[in-house]
Amino acid sequence: MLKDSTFSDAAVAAASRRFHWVTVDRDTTPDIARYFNVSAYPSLIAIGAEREKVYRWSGYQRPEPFLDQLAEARRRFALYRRGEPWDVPDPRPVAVLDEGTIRTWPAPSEKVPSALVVLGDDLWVAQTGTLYRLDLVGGALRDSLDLNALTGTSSVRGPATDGRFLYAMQYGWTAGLPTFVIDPVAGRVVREIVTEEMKVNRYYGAHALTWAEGLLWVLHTRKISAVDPATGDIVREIEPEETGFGGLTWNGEHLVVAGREALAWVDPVSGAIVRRLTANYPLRAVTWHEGTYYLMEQPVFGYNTSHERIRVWPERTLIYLVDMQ
Amino acid sequence: MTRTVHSLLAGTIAVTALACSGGQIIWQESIEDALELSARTRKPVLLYFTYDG
Repeated sequence: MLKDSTFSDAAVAAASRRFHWVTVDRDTTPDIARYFNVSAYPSLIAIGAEREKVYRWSGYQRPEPFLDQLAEARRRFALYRRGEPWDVPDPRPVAVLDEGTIRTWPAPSEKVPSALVVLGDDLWVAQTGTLYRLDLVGGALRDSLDLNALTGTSSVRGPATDGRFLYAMQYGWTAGLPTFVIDPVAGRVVREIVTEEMKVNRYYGAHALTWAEGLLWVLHTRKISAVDPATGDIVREIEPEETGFGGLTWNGEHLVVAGREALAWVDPVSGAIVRRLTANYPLRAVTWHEGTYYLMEQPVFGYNTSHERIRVWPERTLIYLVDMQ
Repeated sequence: MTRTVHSLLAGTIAVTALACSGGQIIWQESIEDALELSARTRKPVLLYFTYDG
């Protein structure tokens, strides 16, 4: 598509004269793709004299944003040629949101977060297969559960809670894989819930879940489905007009979703977004408790000058506590 | 037209480049050729990774 449309655009072709272009085909020269650590296609990398990364981006783009990328590549290359730092990440806003009063706690680990939930006086934090139990008052780590060992799978989303048990579902809930009901005191799975009607699907795409009004609400693909926790049946579905969300909670009135670009409040009946706040950092996990939103961000990954994949943001993983009207 | 033109990185990695394309972008035949040009012209080398030729 780049070659068929964007590359043939007159402005792109004109700007292209400011570079020396080389095509690297994955299938005929896979060693080069491996050397530059390329796994997304198409990718473009501006390199220095020693083949170091100067600037890198990927994905199909229309001419206008593609021209912006070319301009940025040239800007970075000029810095490189002058011997100035060229690979410093762009600064980002100082706060995760522009509204609310924000406090931070250090996260219990640097692993990728997936969910947050409050149960009693504990804040449970899920990070790559481990459930950490934090003191809700000060954020101190109390103990942890090995979620992968507990459920026998490494693709668990959640948890949510009904006030007694924790509910963790598999990424493949959308294909009929079970949701686990966990007794956090005993530290074991006490029951599994299966949504039979999802077994006809072949795709995986359950992102987050929350408990609201006696139902388990599941954020998946383009929908939010309300599941009867006794039967596993879907009893209601809404389709928000915006997608790209990875976190879900209930604030007593609305479903609240967190995603790459925003925090949004969703009407549980119509699916309409009734409030939307731009997120300064991509969000991954959200929960609400007594007026406070607890948020964690989706780490941003990039590549260093040697083409090794690195985490760019955040420098330290934090839990954001946001009090807002 | 895609063809392997010469090696890169201690002579172990073959470079495939487009000698020409349907658009107006001018494609160099190898990374090494492009780096040599870059040293003279001070223009950056841009690698386009694809799988569709």
